[in-house]
Amino acid sequence: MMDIKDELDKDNVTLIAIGSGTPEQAKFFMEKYNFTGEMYMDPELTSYKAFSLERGFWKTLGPRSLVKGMKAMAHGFFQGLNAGDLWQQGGIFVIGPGNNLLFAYRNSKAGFHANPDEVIAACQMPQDSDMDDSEIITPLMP
Amino acid sequence: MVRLYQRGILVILVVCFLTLGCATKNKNIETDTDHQALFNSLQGLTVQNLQGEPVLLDSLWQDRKVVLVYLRHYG
Repeated sequence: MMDIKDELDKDNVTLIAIGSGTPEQAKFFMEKYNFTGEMYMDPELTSYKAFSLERGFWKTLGPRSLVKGMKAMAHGFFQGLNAGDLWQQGGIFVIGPGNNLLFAYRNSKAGFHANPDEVIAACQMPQDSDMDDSEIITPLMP
Repeated sequence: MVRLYQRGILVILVVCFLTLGCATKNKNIETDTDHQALFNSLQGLTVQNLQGEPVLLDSLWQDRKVVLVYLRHYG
């Protein structure tokens, strides 16, 4: 996420993260990952549900997720103590200005993420509210 | 008889597999109506800022473009 922050700043796009933990956990996350965007919390998961984000035991601990987790660990990324809803999956959306959805990606399982290049491409789309629907980038889940 | 039973099971499994596969893909086919419904459902929803104060979710992108990342967990 922070890998594309400089590009977002150049394009005048604001990076916002929403998590399901407490403010203290969010602050810890920001320090640990040097996250410099805006941070909000939704412990009730209400907006997660509104965005139709996936949730479930097998989404987190399914075989494909475990393989992805092991690959991440091999590259030095270790997940710490869970902070938030363990079974809830994430997603990424490019929105605005106004109610214009330019990009939507819902993580199908733990370890699956959006392609950063597609996110940046959506950020660089013209700010035209009359945009053709066909221009909306909606990648398929893996 | 046993073979017929096995074939029946196989057909049911294939139908289930195809149905689930299509259902998963369809989740990502978003139309203009889906977007309207999404933004309607977001109206009035709040998230908390780091001070624990409520913030209207859709106010976050009304006058700017944002990349909104939903985290799976902190840490």
